Amino acid sequence: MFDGINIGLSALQTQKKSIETTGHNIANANNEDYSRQRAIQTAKEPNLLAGSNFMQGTGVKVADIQRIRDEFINQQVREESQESGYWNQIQQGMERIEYIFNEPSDSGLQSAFDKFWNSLQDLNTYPNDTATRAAVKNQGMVLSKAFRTINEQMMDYKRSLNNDFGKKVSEINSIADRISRYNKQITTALASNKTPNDLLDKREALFNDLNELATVKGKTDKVGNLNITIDGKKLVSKFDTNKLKVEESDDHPYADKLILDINGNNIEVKPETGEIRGLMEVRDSEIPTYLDNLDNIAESFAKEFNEKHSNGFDLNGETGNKFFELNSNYSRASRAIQVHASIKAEGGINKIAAGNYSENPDIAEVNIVDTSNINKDQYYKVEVSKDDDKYYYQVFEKNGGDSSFGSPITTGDINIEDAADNPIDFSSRGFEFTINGSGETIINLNTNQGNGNNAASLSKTINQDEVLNGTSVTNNYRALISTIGVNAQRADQMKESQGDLVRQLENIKQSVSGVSLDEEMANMIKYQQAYNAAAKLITKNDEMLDSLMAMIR
Amino acid sequence: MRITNSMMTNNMLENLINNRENLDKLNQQLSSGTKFSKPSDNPIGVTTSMGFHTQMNNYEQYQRDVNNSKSWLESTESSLSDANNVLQRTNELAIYASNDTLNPEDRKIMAEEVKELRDELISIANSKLGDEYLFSGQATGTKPIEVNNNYHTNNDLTLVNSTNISSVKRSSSTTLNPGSYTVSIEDSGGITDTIKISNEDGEVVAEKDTDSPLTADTNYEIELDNGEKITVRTGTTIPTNTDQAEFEVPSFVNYNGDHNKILRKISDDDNMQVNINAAEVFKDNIETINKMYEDLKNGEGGEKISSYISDFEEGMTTNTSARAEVGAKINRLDLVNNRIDDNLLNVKKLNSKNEDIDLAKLVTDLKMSENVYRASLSSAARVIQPSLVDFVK
Repeated sequence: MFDGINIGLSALQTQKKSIETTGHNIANANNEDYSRQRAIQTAKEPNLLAGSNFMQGTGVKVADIQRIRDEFINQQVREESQESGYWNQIQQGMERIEYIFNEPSDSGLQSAFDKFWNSLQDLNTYPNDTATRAAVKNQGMVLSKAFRTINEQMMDYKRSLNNDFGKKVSEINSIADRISRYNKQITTALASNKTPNDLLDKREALFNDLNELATVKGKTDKVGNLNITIDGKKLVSKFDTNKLKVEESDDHPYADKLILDINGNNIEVKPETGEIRGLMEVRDSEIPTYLDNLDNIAESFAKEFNEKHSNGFDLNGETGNKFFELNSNYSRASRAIQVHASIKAEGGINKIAAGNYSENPDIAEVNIVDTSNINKDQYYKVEVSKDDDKYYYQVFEKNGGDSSFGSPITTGDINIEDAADNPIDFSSRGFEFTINGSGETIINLNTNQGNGNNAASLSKTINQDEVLNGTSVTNNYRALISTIGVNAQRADQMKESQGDLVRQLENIKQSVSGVSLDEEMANMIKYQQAYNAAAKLITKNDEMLDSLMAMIR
Repeated sequence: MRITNSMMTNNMLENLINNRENLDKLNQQLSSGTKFSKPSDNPIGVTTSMGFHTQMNNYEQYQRDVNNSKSWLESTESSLSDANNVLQRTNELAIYASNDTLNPEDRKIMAEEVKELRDELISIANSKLGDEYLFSGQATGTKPIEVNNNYHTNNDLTLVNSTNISSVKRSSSTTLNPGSYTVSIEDSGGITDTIKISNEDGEVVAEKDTDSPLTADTNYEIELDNGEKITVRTGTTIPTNTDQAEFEVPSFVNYNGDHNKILRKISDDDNMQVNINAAEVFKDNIETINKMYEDLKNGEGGEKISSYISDFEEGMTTNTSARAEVGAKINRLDLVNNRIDDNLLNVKKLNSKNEDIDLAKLVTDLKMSENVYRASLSSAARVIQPSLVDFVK
């Protein structure tokens, strides 16, 4: 007779428990890390009906409160978020690098090159004008400053990335630490047959965060510990963690290494992906590559420019002056390049070599060897032609007042590859000349102020001369910008698509584990109705007992 | 698929963010007027655009350079044209003065005008553009034509490396053309000795055979083709074959510039000589005018003066051909300028095609994005709200 009441009671308890679970789900509807839970209802052990073969039901109970989840999807989300973290960092880095180079704009390096070129063209027109000379000096300083600014900002960014690197490493340590503490709580609960659903959710959330940071692999052992390895080495093992730390690199500034301390043994760790990998990539690969490239441009430009400059003569008729110099305090040419101290000094603008003995130094360039043999009224015409591997030259001479050159005074040839190192000797007339190309040029050894031949040749170092990688300085720079653009574009796209992929997987994960309010409300009504019915069952049983009691009276 | 509330919210949010990013991109393009603001927006486009900007910058510079060269050439042209007027007038005067009917007084008055013309030509030769002398080659800070101060007073010519020759005197400053000369003695050993005067090329310009052997400390007059006389005084010992002396006949003006070309870059691979020096176009004319002036001043006759007419004609021819050359260069610069204008326009067009937004298309796109954004907002407002909660009482 009391069985009925017991059944009713079990039903009341079970439905109440189920409603509570529903309530817990609703409460956590907006908790991203939460997996929805379900009370699993199962029939209680039946009783054998006395004197019969029948088993009679004894009601219902909650067998388990289950987390609804799909471990496969969760694992995929984690793997893809490693990749997503990686591309996020790369994209951030490339965006910053693009801003540092600041192209296209009126204040970038390209524009500084253009303005320097303009000032050299003006120098060709007004070789002895003070304002024009001052402009050449100033634009030269603006150009070297443009190199320096890019270099400094890149190094600043590298330093700040290195700081971030340290912070991310402590973040990993802190997460690993907390996971190891959850390991302890969870295994304790499991040992006493409790289901620590919410603890599991929290531990998983931490593990997910860890996956965004670095490549880690996790494995849950039999008793419920989540053991984690980074780059194949133990990070979390049961209740213990190995600490990660940073170590300064001996080779490069601001390029700390990632070290895992395993019982006092320091082992370098190189994660394959994740935010920390992305950060290292920008810090140790992207920034140095672009800076190397910029250094090459700065160095070869300064070298070529100085060579031509020292070959020309200044307002005082002196040769051998340098326009740029590389400050020896700095190893990177893009930081070290500056206008030469002698040009920057008081009156230094007179040392700018606008003039050249040769009308076109790109054909023949002159070196004075013996000033006592020089005749400043004498003019020499050099004609150079070339075939596959040889320059053929003819030299004519005349006095300044004469109307034309006579027959050649010297003819000869020289291998093109030897030409640069083997000047043609004219020491009896006080000079020698080096053949640089074919064509015709006139050489005269006076050093008058209206000579702007060298300025015309200097301006070619920017857009025309094949200075680096078989092309001009500015072409090299544009190629660098293009490379940065392509890499940044790729990073944008990868970040986008990887982000989409993670969002889709998150959606699938949510679809399985997320809380749907509609569903919970429906469940609530379902359990409520069952609860009401069970209450009715007890009432009816009570009434039945009342009837029975009444019979006795 | 089971759809939960947070999924719907998240998806909605994601779409809203995407739509807003899109809107922002279009707005940025619209407000900047260019399709891209950083290399990753379009790496090829950006580097192409950088190249175009450099080209435009270069063409604009060449425009300035060509105009500077042009003003140099135009100043040269106007100086040459002034010089031509001077030469024409002197030529007229020479023709007029060739007439023997003029009396010495008339010639002296005429001499004054010729002197003014001479000075005018000197000042034309010393014309400047800004601080630069036009006609002194690359020595643009040096006055090209300077009057030789020794010229007027010195008819007693200075001897160099003299062996037993005491002095050489000329009768007037127009006697010998400027340059260096050698006077030498040929002692035949017999009765007739010879005195020779030869120029720097070794040509004998005058010689005199004597009736008796040369004696020491004696003046000998040597007559030139034009009738002028040079007086050579022998040294303190009896002249012999080895006696000789060099002397310099000063010119009226010196050219102090150089013979260098001023070359201006007018394109990446081309340059142009823009200068003519005073030695080529002015010096000889000034010398001739000066000789004529001195002759007129000294009351020389028409025949002497008429010898200058051909010099002036030659001078005018040189002047005209120089002007033609300058004119041709100015024309070429105009052509170069036109070509630069065309190139600049082309690059500007290409650049605009490359980097400028298509306003109509962009505004349409923007309007569409705006509509999509509005729609997504209103659908968000509608979809997020209702759930079963609203209906369970």
